[in-house]
Amino acid sequence: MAGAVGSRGSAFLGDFKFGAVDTQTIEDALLHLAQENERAVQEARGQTGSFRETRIVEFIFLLSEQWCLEKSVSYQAVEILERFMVKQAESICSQAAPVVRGSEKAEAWSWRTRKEQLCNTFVLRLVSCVQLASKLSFHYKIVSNITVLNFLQALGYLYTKEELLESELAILKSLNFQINLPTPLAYVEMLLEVLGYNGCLVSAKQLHGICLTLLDLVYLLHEPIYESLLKVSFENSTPMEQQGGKFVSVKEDFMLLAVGIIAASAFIQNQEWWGQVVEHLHSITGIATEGIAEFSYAILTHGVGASTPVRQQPGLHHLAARPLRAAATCNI
Amino acid sequence: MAGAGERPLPPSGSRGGGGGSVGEAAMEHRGLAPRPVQQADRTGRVRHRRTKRERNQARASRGPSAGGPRIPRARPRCSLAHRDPALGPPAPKPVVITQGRLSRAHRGLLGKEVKSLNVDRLLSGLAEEVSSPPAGETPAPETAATAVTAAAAAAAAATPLPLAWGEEPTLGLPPKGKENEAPGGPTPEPPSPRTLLEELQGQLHLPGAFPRRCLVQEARAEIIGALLAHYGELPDLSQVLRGLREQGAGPEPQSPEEWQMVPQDREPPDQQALVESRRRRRRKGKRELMFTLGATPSPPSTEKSLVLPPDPWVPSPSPPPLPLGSERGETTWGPQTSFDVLKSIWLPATPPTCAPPWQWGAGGTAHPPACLPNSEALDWSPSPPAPMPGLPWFVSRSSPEPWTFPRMRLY
Repeated sequence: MAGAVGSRGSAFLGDFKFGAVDTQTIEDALLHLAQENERAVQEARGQTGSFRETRIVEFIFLLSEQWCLEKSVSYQAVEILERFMVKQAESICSQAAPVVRGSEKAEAWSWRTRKEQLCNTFVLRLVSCVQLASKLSFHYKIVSNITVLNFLQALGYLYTKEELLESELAILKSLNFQINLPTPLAYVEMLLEVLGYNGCLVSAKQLHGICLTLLDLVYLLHEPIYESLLKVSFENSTPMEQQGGKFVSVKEDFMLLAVGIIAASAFIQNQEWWGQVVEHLHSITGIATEGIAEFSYAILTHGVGASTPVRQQPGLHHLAARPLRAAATCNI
Repeated sequence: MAGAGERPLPPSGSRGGGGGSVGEAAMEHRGLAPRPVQQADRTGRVRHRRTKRERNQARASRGPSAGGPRIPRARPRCSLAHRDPALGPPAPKPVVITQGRLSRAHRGLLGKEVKSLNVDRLLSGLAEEVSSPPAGETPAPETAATAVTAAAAAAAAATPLPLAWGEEPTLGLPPKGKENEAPGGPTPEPPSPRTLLEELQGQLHLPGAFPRRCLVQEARAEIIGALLAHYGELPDLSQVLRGLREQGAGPEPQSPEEWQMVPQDREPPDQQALVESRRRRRRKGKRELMFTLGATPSPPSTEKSLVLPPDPWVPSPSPPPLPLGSERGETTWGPQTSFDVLKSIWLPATPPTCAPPWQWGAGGTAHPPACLPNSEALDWSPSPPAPMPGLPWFVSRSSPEPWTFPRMRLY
């Protein structure tokens, strides 16, 4: 799709254009995204997605805004950093366990050393993730080493260019050079494109702008939104650990996130068209309308600042909670 | 990445002890030395018994079996319930050794709380010897509140609460927070990756590079502003759920210009391209995916394929939700194209229908009904159209293309 539109000035709205791609290409791309999403959902593990804290995401977003990067770059940077940190944590724990079992006390503290070193170099790693993500975007918007070093120096971090390159290399090696990770924005834009071809009447450009804001919010409030979604799906009762673990696959379902964001955006745009958009999204993705409504409801309640969604119709709540609960209990 | 050896190993009493058991003994010693209460005296007697005189007395009192192995007395650390019976009558109630230490009275060797960093190890030792302590041994509520893992130790007696999502079982893991660290240093046992990530999130320091910015508030302000702009007030968000039942088929289109995804100046592609595009799409029917949310209990009848409707340049006047069996865009979306009419002329055995040709039966045994008027002039089929087959017939057809489209130019 075209470049993303930053609601806070990351890009220009005029650069974005829907309907410029051939139908066959759209169809192939949608199928590819769906297959990727299916694979990601199946491969979701316990630690996946557990490093998306609000202040870290906010730092990346603001840094990307300062460097005039696309919104897709900021999402990509968050995904790269999250996967890198999860890999590092898994590596530390897996290497520490046999050492401790072997009762080599001199080496038993190495995992703490590694953890502290990870903490000390975190800002450098974060900036490297943004720089790597910028290299995946347009070449004329790549963040240069000088820019990165100046930014770090302004914050009081004195690194050399070699250290910066080593940091990039460390991230690349940790992720096996697979940093072109999918982001929910690609799913949102793809579904908007398909909605257009399917004859949906809502303006795609207006939907797109609000979708970006909502996607920002979901990234910033990732844990609260999904936690409330999980609680709602379990009828506000505290879910068991096993259920929460299986809900990880729901958290990694970018297709579900995209339809929830588009539906919430349609509700903000026009309540009358909201149902039509939901039906179209259901027809395209096969996701139950109740699940789409439930997700968009959670997004909207957090969007207006109501941290805990208030149920007004228990009957509807029960109906809407069923699909997500089933997904959490039966998925994978 | 991990520069091992950069940071000196933290000073630890257990490390200075030179091993786990020694460190454990040191910890016990820390906990017992300044203690004036009765329990400490008992334990002190146990240690005092190690003197030669005491040992000789004990051996003499045991008689001929004194020279045997002292396996039961090899670990005096765990519980007073395992005192040597030669010392006198056994304690009426076995007491968990950490119970008193973890309570409010005792503060450890350095005046800091000794909060059960090794309690799990002590308890594992207990578990080997005391499988099920009596119910009266459970620590007092305040004791359990103070010592997290001691409470976990008494979890056998206490009612276990179900773990919430994301919570890690605390048994075997040190509680978080500085106050829970032993004076000698942190626990050498690594946490689980999830716990480590949570610890990292709490410990990571991000510089204040962007003061006076709060993206959450900004995003919320934008969302609320958009809602106010469209509704005039904050709407009842529960309409999102209510609307599913109340909403009908959607509003009627107001004007074709509303739809902006298809450029207005876009010309329809030529027929040849359209034919090829459709044929390619039909060939790919095998890889059409069904998308559901994992095991979402959506009924199979509501699952839709991803086949896009034809004629994207013609916005549908009323885009209703796709009903069952209308996955193929040619069936319900848009008017019948000229290609369909031409096809009916070229292929006598395939009358013009709304159904895609790969669904037609081979040999003309059964045909879907025609969409065009069944006039004599248009009906070139050798036999009259058969009655419409049911859905199972369509589903049961395995051959994607029973006939071959003639390769000829359309113009």
